[in-house]
Parts: sequence; structure tokens; C-alpha cells
Amino acid sequence: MVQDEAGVESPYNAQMEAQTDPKGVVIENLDGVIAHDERRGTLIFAAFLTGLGLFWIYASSDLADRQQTAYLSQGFLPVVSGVLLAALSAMLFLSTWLTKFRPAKELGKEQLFEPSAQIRGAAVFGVLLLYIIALPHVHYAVNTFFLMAAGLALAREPIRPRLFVLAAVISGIFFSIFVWGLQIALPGSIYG
Amino acid sequence: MEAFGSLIDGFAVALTWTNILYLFIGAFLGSLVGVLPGIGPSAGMVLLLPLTFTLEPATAIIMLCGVYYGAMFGGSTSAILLNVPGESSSVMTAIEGHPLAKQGRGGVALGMSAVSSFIAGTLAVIGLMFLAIPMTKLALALGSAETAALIFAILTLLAGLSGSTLLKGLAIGALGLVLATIGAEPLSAQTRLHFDLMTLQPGISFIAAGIGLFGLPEVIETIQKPVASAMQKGSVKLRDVFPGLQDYKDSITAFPNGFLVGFTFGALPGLSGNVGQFVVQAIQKRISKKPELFDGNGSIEAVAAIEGANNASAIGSLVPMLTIGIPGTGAAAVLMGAMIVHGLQPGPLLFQSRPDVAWGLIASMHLGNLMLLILNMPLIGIWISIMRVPTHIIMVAVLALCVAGIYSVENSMGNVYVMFAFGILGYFMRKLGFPVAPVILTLLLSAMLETSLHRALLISAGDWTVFVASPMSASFVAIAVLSILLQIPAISRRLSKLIRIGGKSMDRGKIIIDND
Repeated sequence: MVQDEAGVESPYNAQMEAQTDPKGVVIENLDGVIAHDERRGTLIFAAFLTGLGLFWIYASSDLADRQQTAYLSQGFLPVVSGVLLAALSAMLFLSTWLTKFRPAKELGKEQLFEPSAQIRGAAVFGVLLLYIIALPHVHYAVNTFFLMAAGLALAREPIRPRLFVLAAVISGIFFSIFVWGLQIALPGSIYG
Repeated sequence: MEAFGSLIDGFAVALTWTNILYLFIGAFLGSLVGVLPGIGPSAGMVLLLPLTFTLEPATAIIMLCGVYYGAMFGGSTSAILLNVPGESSSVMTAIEGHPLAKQGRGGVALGMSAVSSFIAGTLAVIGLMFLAIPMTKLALALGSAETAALIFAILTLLAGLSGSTLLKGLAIGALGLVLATIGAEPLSAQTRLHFDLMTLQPGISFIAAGIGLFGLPEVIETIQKPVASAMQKGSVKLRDVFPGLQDYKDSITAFPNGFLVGFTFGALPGLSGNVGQFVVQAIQKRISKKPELFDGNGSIEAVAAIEGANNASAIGSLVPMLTIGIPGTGAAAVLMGAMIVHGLQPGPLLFQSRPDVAWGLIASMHLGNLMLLILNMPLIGIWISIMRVPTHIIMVAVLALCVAGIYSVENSMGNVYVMFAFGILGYFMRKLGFPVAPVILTLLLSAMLETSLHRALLISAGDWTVFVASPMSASFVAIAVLSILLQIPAISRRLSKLIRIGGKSMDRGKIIIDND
């Protein structure tokens, strides 16, 4: 591992030193170099997929034994797809592990999982989940109003009367379209 | 002659006030959806699908097709005016069209986009018309083994072409296969791998997965970004949107070029407008009398060629879906899913069992092209006004739209939770550069693949060589193997050295900085 001027250690830096010729011409091969956070994320995702594939093989294997249908059992495609998923994901894991990587800044890329953005994204998912859980129990327009208000606040809309007016208008429009217009029996609605 | 007779019957179906009205609504909503950066034709059709559930099947599909190519056109509006591609196939439009907007000719670029889309789109519908019946006859000659081999080839082509790396595309395609095995087994209808969850017993809802994978990550990513005033502040007068005579003269070769390249790539499963836009731009630049205006210097004929190719590709991608029942693109897959939801089975039998729907759809494409041209010229100013609404407000509204839309499919909260789960999956897939199309396609095609496999082995009494026994199935298997092999970098590099394009080296990996 070689440190660069910023003190960042990376196996890539050794390769960089080797690629500077005596005339000072820097030959920088960026082909196939990925950002560090992308590498880490892909490794985790590939590991998850590999585990899912192995689990699928296990869950499907008794299908193959118990229930036979002609020349292919019910478990044939699940087992094959599980094998494919596990094998391909393992190859992806290995390929990503062996790929050169550098910090995102050095590659001129933005940080992939910037903490504040991820917290905001998680909050949106959380608000959406609460909305879905509340949907069977709370009047549709009221529930949607709260979703809109929370969503707009998370989207950095200033918390002023305008936010609540927008939330009310949007929830009113959707109530008109889905409940009155399309007469969908949404939970908690006057039709539900 | 048979095609013309059928087309006249199709016009009889399409030219009803109801169908014309819903075609207009679909084209309008599609253009509106396409104008919104980030929501492409696939996501737009999925989001608007619930609005069609109360309609007759023919009317519903006509409306959705209007949404489809309306969205393709709408993507060019944000690409040209804001340098933000409305969908992935508008990337070159942004590169070639936005400089024209900076030169004060944004309206003309939009106008030429509309005209070129109309010309190439009309030619593409004629192509679809004449290809439909021969391809239907070909499809009926396909046995179970050929069908299984063809689906396998389609899946490998898509996995190889739709992702940043082959492995990512193949792995995510395998994930789609895994998820598709949940629920009822195609032949015996016995449920499997649902883990005692009632929601999963009928299988993964295609619509829920589609909205979760396409729509939710878009919303989340937009909300995560700082509020950007990505909206147009200026205005475009109606007289500014008509190209001049010189513009038409410059673009005379762009119209047929856009049609030929777009339709060909659209009809070939796995390629679509994402690849066609680059090819058509390169070809147009070679034959142009003003090549110096290309590559970001403001070329009206580049815009004409690219937008013509996009629209022709959108229609061309319906050829394999309608005639064989195999969608070649993500958007065609969504449309196919919509047809299934409405009780229609795309494929060769569609033209026999429901010729009113099949030919009514083709006839409506002619009308749709004309409608888009008439609709979008005066509406360009309105699109610009709508784009003044901050994107984050629209995206938050889309959250509620997704939930209501999914719930309305089967009045099932289970599907809403499935959509939510796919939303989380889709978010991480997008962040890490995994393509979404292979998951959607394997979810859609897996049942057909399994059924064909079973039947082929029943017919051959368990002999697996049936999949390479006939020339057709052997060809499809060879295509599948080749499509994987050609994506392996070592092999593709060796091949590219043998095939030189324009005399330039294909080695893009080296940047030489001269410090002298």
C-alpha cells in the first residue's frame, strides 16, 4: 500500500507510481476503477444475494423431493434460479473484491451514501411505511395530508403555512380522483 | 393487402369518440410524465395504469400506448430546455438539443423534435403493420422448445446490455427468476415458497414490483437532493416552435435515418432507444453537410435524427411484444403486464382471438402520432409552465399516487407492502448501478419459460437435446451463449481490434497528460 500526498493509502497509488514515465507523462488508466463506497456497497449487496440464493436452494430442495410433475418437479426452477443467483452473486462478489478502487473524491464522483442524504431517505421510507400502516385505519384524505406534509418537510420545503396548504391541496386532489372519481374503496374513506 | 384490410378494421375500432378521447388523455398525460425529469415511460405507464382499470381493454391499452410514446416525446422537452434527460433514451437529445436552447432556438428544437417524431413514428407504425402478420405466422411455428430457447436468449441479451457490468445484469436477472418462483407453479397451480404469507400465495404482483423498482427510488433520490430550481423560467411563444425551411432542408436525411435506426433497434429485443440514440447520432454526423455542429454545438438535424429514432424505437419495441408475446424493453414489459391485467394475452393468438384490440392498437398509433404533433406544438408553453412547479413537490405527491394506485389493483394492502419492499430494493439497486429491467422482465417471462420447459420435455420424453434439435431453437441458444461471451471484456476487446470503427481505437482506458 502506498500513501499519496493526501495520506490516503491505496493499492492504486503504487500502480500510479509505476505508470509515470521518465518524461513526466502520467499515464492514468481509469478503466474499471470504482469508488470505495460503491465497492463496499456492491460487496454487501452481492453477499446478500449469495445468501438469498443459498437459502432458496435449501427452501426449494424439499419441493423437488416431495412433489413431482412430469419430467421437471416443482422445485426445478426454484433450485436452478437459486443456484444461478448464488453462483452469479458470488462471482460478482469476487469480481468486485478484485477490482481496483479509489476514494470517490479522487475519481471526481460524489459520495454514494452520504450520511445526511441517507438519513433523509430513511426518514421518507419511514414516513411512507407509517402511512401504509395507517391507511386501513385513518381517513384517506387525512392520512394523505400528513404524508404530504411530512414528505414536503423532508424535501426541504420550509415549514410555513404554504407547506400545509400544499399538503391539503394535493390530498384533496387525490381524494377527488381516487375516491370520488374512480370510486376506489380506499380504507377509511366514505365509501370504505 | 391483408394488412390494409385489417388496418381499416382497426381504424373502425380506434375512431370512436371514447377511444379518441382516451388516446388524447393518454398522450397528454404521457407527455406530462415524460416532461418530468426522471420519470420515464416505464414508470409513467405503471403509475397511470390504475386509471385504466375501469375502461374496456381496447380503450385501456390505447390509452397506455398514448402514455408510452407521449412520454418518449415528453422526455425531449426537459432534455432540450433544461439539459436534464426525461428518460435514458433522451441523453443524446440533451447533448445535441440543449445548445440550441442556449442559442435561443429551444422552441425550434422542440418543434423539430415533434415533427421528426411524427414522421419517423408514422413510418414505424407502417413497418409494424407489415411485420405484424408475418411475425405472427412465424410465432405460431414456434414450439415449446423454441419458445423456451427464445426467452432464454432474450433474458441474456437484456442482462448483457442493460447494466454497467455483465455480472450485475445477470445476477439481478437471477434475482428476478428467484422472486418469480414465489406463488403458484404454472402447470399444477400449487403454491410454493410463499412462507405462509397470504400476500405471496398468488405470487409477486408485477405492478407492485414495477412501481416499487421504478417509481419509489426516483422519489427518494429527488427528495434527498437539495431543492434545485430545475424549472424553466422563460416562456416560449407559439411562433417560436415552428422550424424554418432551412431547418427542414438540413434535416431531410435525418427523418429516414431516425426511422430506420430507431425501428430496427426497437424491434430487436434488448437494444431499444438507449443504444439507438448513439448509433443514429453517429450515422447522421457522417452523412451531414454540417458535421461541425454536432457533439454539443447545436445541430437541428441531430435533434431530428435522435428524436425520430426514439419514437420509431418506441413503436418498434412493440413488434416482438405484440406478435410473439415477448417484450424487448422494460417499457414494453410494463405494457404487456397491463394487457395481462386487462385479460389480454399478447402474442400470436392476440391477432386471432382479439383482432379488434390488436389492429385497433396499431390504428391508434397512427392517430397517436398525429395527435402528439398537434397536441405538443401549442402545449410546449404549458409544459414549461408546469415545469415551474418545483420537482420535489411533484415527487412527494407521487408517493401517495403510488400507494393509491397499487391498492386499487386488487384492493389489497399486501400489494402495497410488496411495493414498499421493492422500493427499498430498487433504491439500493439504483445506488449501486444494478439495472432494473432484468428483474421486471424475468418476473414477467419466468412463468412462460417454466411452462415451455415443462412442455418441451413432455414432448421429447425428457430428452434435453430438444432445445438444440431444431435450427430455430439451436440459433436462439447460440445467440444466448454469444451474448454472454461477447460481454466478457477479454473477448470483446479482441473482437474490437478486428473491427475498427471509423479508424479509431476502441481502447478508451488511457488518458495521457503531457506535462511539457
